Amino acid sequence: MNKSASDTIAAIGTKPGEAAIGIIRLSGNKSVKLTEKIFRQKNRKKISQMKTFSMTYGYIVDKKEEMIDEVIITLMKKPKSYTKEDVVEINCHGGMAAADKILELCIKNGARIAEPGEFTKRAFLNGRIDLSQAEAVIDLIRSKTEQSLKVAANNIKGIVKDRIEELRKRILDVLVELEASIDFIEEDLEVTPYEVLEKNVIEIQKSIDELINDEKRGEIIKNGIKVAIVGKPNVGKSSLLNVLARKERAIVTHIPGTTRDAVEEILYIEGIPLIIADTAGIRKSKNIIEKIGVKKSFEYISKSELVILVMDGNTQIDDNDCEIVEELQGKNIIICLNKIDLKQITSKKEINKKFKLNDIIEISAKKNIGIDKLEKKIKTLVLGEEEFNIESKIIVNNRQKNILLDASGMLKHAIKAMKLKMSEEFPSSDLKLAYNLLGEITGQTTTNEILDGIFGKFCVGK
Amino acid sequence: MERMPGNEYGVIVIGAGHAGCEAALASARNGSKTLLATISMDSIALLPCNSAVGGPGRGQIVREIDALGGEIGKNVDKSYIHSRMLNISKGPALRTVRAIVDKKRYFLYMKQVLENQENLDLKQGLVAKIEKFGNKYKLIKTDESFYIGKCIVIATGTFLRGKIFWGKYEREAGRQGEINSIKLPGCLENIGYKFGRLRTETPPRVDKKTVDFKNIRTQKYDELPEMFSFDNVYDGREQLNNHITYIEKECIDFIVKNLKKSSIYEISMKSENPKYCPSIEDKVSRFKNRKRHQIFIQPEGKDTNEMYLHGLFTTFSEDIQEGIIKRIKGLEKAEITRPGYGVEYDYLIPGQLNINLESKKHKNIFFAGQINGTTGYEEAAAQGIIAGINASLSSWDKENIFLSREDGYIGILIDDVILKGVIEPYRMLTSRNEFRLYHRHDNADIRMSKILRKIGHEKKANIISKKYEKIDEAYSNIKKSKYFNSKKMIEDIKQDRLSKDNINIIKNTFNLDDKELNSLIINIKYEIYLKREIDKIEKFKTHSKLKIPKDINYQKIKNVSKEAVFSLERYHPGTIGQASRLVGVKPLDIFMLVAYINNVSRETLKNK
Ligand SMILES: Nc1nc2c(ncn2[C@@H]2O[C@H](COP(=O)(O)OP(=O)(O)OP(=O)(O)O)[C@@H](O)[C@H]2O)c(=O)[nH]1
Ligand SMILES: [Mg+2]
Repeated sequence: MNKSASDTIAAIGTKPGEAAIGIIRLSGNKSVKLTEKIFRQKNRKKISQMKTFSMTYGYIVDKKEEMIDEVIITLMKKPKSYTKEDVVEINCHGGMAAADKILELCIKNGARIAEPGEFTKRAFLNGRIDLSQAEAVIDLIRSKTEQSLKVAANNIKGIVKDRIEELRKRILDVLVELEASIDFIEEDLEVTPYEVLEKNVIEIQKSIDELINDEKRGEIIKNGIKVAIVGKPNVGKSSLLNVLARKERAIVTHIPGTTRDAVEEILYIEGIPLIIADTAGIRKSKNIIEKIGVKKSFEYISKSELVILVMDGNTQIDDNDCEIVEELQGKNIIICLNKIDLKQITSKKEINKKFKLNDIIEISAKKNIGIDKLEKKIKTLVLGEEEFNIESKIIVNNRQKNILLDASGMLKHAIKAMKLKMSEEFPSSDLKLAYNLLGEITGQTTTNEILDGIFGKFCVGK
Repeated sequence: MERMPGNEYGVIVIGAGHAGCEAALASARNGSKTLLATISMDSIALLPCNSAVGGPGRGQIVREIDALGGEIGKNVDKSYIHSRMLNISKGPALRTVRAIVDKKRYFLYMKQVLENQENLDLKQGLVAKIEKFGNKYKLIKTDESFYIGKCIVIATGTFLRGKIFWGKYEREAGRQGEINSIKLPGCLENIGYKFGRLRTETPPRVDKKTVDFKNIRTQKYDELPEMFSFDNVYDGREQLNNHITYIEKECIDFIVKNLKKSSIYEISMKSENPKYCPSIEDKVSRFKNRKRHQIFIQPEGKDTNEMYLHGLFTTFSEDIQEGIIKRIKGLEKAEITRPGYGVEYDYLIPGQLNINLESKKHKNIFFAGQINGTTGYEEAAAQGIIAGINASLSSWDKENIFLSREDGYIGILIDDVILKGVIEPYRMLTSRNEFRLYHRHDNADIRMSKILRKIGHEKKANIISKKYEKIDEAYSNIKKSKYFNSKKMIEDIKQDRLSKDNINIIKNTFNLDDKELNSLIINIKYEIYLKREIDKIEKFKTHSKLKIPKDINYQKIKNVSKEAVFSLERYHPGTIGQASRLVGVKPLDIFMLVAYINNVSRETLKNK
């Protein structure tokens, strides 16, 4: 399909911190008409007759008039919208799955999937964005998803910028010393010893790494992490999901192979959103349906960022267990040794010895024993030991994080050169790159700053 | 040589300082009938301040000028009395020569070269007026006689409305004891040029017989100095030492007590205090915590007893200068032969020039040297040679040459002053150069060879290319371990511990001389660092390819900041690359500009 600036575009955006809500945003001439085709509400009022910046409640339906999800529609008529075009936002609350389906419906009805940054690009091309939103625009256009754009736009003005400026200042201080000793070798300068500069660079690099780590954790708190509960049949996976969700979400029976299709649920543990899936028990089976279920279990394993492996303490470890552990290589795993209310046939020690795995927690899903310990374990594994209060942290966006990663790499390279006592031009080359990279975050870079620094600090002559 | 009436020239250069000399020589050597007009036949290529040439940034410039066929490097090699390689504690990429020359000999040798240059007339005369004369220019002297020139290079240094001062005294002068030029700047202003005001200071000179060298540090010259010119080798001459002393507490207190007697306070001046090369009174007040300030005692020549006190730039009255000197170790009994003084002068706001150094306003008028707001002989000479080559090319109606940022220090220099402007005299430093590991001493010849080809020195350029092909081949063969296992060797080079045996193996295998070996070693040692710069150069080139339409209306572009529009309208950059380096232009402005240009061209395409 030929992409054109007059197409009506659509994309999913999810509000940060509310993973359970999906937003589909439409922009362009056809966005109102298109929404009317798929949206139903009791009073049958037309969207085109709504006031701009008003909301309405109703349902999205598919071709067969079957309900997909209940939604809230927000209308922003042109030209007073983000893109200066007609914009419709569909807020669904059925999570990503519903959002996906709604987006699909929009496409079927004539919208095109937006390219990364396309909403902002339109805002810019239509002349809506002014200089005060300047740096955010660059972010927006560079960023991959509409989502990170928003974060960038919020962040760029405030604390991130201040923090980056501070880091740049610290790099500049080191650069000034290095450069002065190159250009004013004949002068009687009181330059800071090389070892001290090296220490300073190490400190700066640490500060950058902290920002990177906070971003990772912030990302988890905002968007949650994917968790899969796996294990062989009948070990109590569904029971565990239910006890974690505090409701009867999955069917539990004493028959091995009860769960066939995976059951997904979003729940909060210690403030962290988990997109958790109870999967079919893994074993070699001839049953076609069960086989498909098992295949799906493996897919979940590869998709998830954390795996909870359930084992039955009341039975012997067998080949099935071993094969599953094999499959989990390289994953973050917590092992739940279940059914400790019954006679212990397999012990924690045994598992530890056999699989060389450490995070083993004894629980009873049925009697709700050890579940609090499991929840704590999940939290520390995901966010680390120390308290993490997102409000007090600076959370950079994805693009910024990538720049920070590059900058951190440059500083590491500089530290290596300084450790080897290589002369000033080597670390200086790295530091300048890091300095300029950070400047990309705040949108400014000049060499004059270094010179001004030298002249301000040292007394230099001809 | 063209057949022209006696007083008519293809190129006329006004001013025989370092810029003027290079400009005149370059023009004459390129075959144009050239006149070099100087205020006095006895003040040619003078070194009124520090007689040192080279050092970080500037040494590389001299090499580039030499590679372009200029004279400064050769003249230094003829007349130096003290030469040292600087930055030997750093890696080989930043090493650079700095030489102190014999001032009188430097002048004499340069005058000889000028006098013996084919196509070149050297004449005394003060140009007062420039007038249009058909498609040529008429240069009228103070005595109303005149010359006709097709192309003009104005290289009048600090002489335009020059004023010197010390203490509460001030006097009209180009330099101490020399007349300034009052009429020419007025004439240039009348035809639309804008000038600013800059200032610099000089130190006193003392009599060598009265200096006590016993208790002060000696700075030795290099026993086997490296020459500036690619063509020269050390001739075994005798050199002289420098000495180093300090201004310490007692002297600092004395300066502070007498601060009010400096011209800075006595005279109202239009220029700002320079941050670089500040006067001693400025240094002492700005850096209160410094316990001492370094002073070099340098010989001014072999045939004179005058010594130059580098570091003691001042505008104090003479009695205070004497008081200062009496309080410096080694100079307690020193007699001042001539006091230091300050100079304030007009400079052309360099944004009025294109990067070929031609005026934006008048075709065939070029400006070069200190008049453009730079400081230093090397910076002046660099502009001189570019302006001279271009004036000559224009005199034949040929396309001009220019050096871009990515080509070398000269490119950086011209780009910086034109696009960023100056607020104090612009001096080259390696920190100004984002490609400094690539823009080195040793490879200046290959970097300048593209210009050589354009001005008809194909043969010389081919020889240079061959040399670097050899080095490149050696480099790739070493990396491939073609002749020997070079893994350890490469590591040794990176750690500065390559053995003599291995050095010889490399030299013999690839048939390299010492200079070629040095370039090869630098390539290996700086590999990834160099690659970064070369990648950046590639990026630079794409930016410079992005042309800005001549008829662009910056007011029409949405979201470009006011400061940026101001700069863009003022400088009319030719490419996005240049625009991005203007003061007040931020990355976002560039982004908007690019989007605008692309959009405009898309729309014009649509309409067609
Ligand atoms: N005594 C005891 N029984 C448990 C515990 N957890 C689960 N069970 C029982 O074990 C049986 C299987 O439980 P499920 O939760 O269905 O097991 P599953 O792993 O989901 O099984 P599949 O879906 O078939 O793979 C049920 O009868 C549960 O009541 C426990 O902690 N203690
Ligand atoms: Mg189950």
